[in-house]
Amino acid sequence: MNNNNEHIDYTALTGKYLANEATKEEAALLEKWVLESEENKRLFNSYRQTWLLSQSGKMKVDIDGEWNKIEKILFAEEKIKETVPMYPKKSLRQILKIAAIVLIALTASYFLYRTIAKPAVENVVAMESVKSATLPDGTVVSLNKNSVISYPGRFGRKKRKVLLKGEAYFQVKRNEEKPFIIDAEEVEIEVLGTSFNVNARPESPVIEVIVNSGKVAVRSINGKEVLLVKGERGVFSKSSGSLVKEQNRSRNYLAWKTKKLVFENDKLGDVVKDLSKVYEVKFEFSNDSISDYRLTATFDNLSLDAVLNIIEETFDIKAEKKDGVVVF
Amino acid sequence: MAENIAYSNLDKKLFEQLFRQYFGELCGFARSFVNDDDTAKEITQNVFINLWQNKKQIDTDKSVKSYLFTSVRNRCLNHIRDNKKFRSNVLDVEIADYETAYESDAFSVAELETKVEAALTKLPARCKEVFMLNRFEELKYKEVAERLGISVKTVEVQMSKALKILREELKEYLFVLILFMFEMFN
Repeated sequence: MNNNNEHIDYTALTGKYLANEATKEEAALLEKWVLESEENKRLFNSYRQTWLLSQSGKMKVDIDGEWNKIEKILFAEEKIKETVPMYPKKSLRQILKIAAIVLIALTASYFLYRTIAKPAVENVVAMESVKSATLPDGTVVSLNKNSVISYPGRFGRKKRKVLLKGEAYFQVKRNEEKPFIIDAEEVEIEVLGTSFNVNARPESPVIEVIVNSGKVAVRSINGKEVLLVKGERGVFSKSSGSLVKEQNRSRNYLAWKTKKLVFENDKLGDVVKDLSKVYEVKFEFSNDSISDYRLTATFDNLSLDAVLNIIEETFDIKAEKKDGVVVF
Repeated sequence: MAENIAYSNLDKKLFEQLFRQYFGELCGFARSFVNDDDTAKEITQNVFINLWQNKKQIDTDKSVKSYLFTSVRNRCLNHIRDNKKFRSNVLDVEIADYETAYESDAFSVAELETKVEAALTKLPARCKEVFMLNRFEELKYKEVAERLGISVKTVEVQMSKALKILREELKEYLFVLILFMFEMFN
């Protein structure tokens, strides 16, 4: 083979292009050739079809697992209502709930009315990997795995309202006239422009907001409210309905996004809590005294194996992995 | 049947039925475009989420099955456009006739699977090895070359050979697709 154009193997070039191996120059060359004649166009298309057909067929998936994921995202509220009767006194809660439903219905129909031709709701969904999205107002959202954010294709005139299920970090574009409001399960978070992390997973017993900069108002569906500033953390308990403000002590609340973990004289028992969130594995200790070992370390974008190696060498212990559980 | 329901009447039970029936096929369909299992699953999940959340807005005469396959295909093309190092709009979009057989209610993935399997047995051993590593195990040309101790150029040649043979073996099938398209648009 040589570089002489007369000897270009266009089938090989087509193959490279389909396999996403072609360089820009090669793609341009192929494009030129395809446009030369109807025959070339037909040939290229038949190769493309062959390429697609060759990998047809069902993918082996854990259909129950996949259904559970989607059920959690789309039907979580129903499930919580069914399984956890949260408030002994029902009346106020019921009224609030009805009010919320009416409000959602009104908001929804308002957006619908405003965007008749367009799809009413945009979704960004992160399932297997962390995702980032820019909303119509310039706000940047990083979405953790198994999380979804929904927002109107165009924000309203008075508010910027979004719906969150799961965990996300917001860098809200400042706009004094139009507050940014996040509807996250049982709490509503209102800001003008700031950055903060919201963890509102349907399966978690608490909803947590941690502020990185600026001021954030958190209101719960049962009428409580806290104002948070930089370095503070608001926690709503789904079982007791309490909403409290405290100092944020977690250095690693953004590790799901940054992949950087910092520990300063922290107990191994606490360290593994942060690790399990980032690496999605469970930890156990063969001996309780191990969980009291103190670790000081920075893990910047390391693989789980690399982290385990460091811990093994630091304390001269063994980590054993089986069935998604790491035992020290 | 689930395929013929009105979108706005879609309830959770029907939705789950559709999900369980088509999720695997749709993922396979998506993977044939994006070459990655996780991406394929994510795209398919998104299509279902969108179907549920926008069911009141969906305005089409298409059956749900056909809607699902079309949505997955469109999202795959967007994904390819947004994520790959270099793609040609002419080749990917302007001149492309993406077959719509998948979107037909009569289309059977199982039947196609058998045909493809038979076609793959027609490849010479080394050629099949190269093709399988690239297409199914998602190895880059360079990785295939390293794995088999051959040059990248040889991988290119073997891939080209595989495409030629498969095209020939699936010719009847491609022709059926084209005929089918013809019926659809006339």
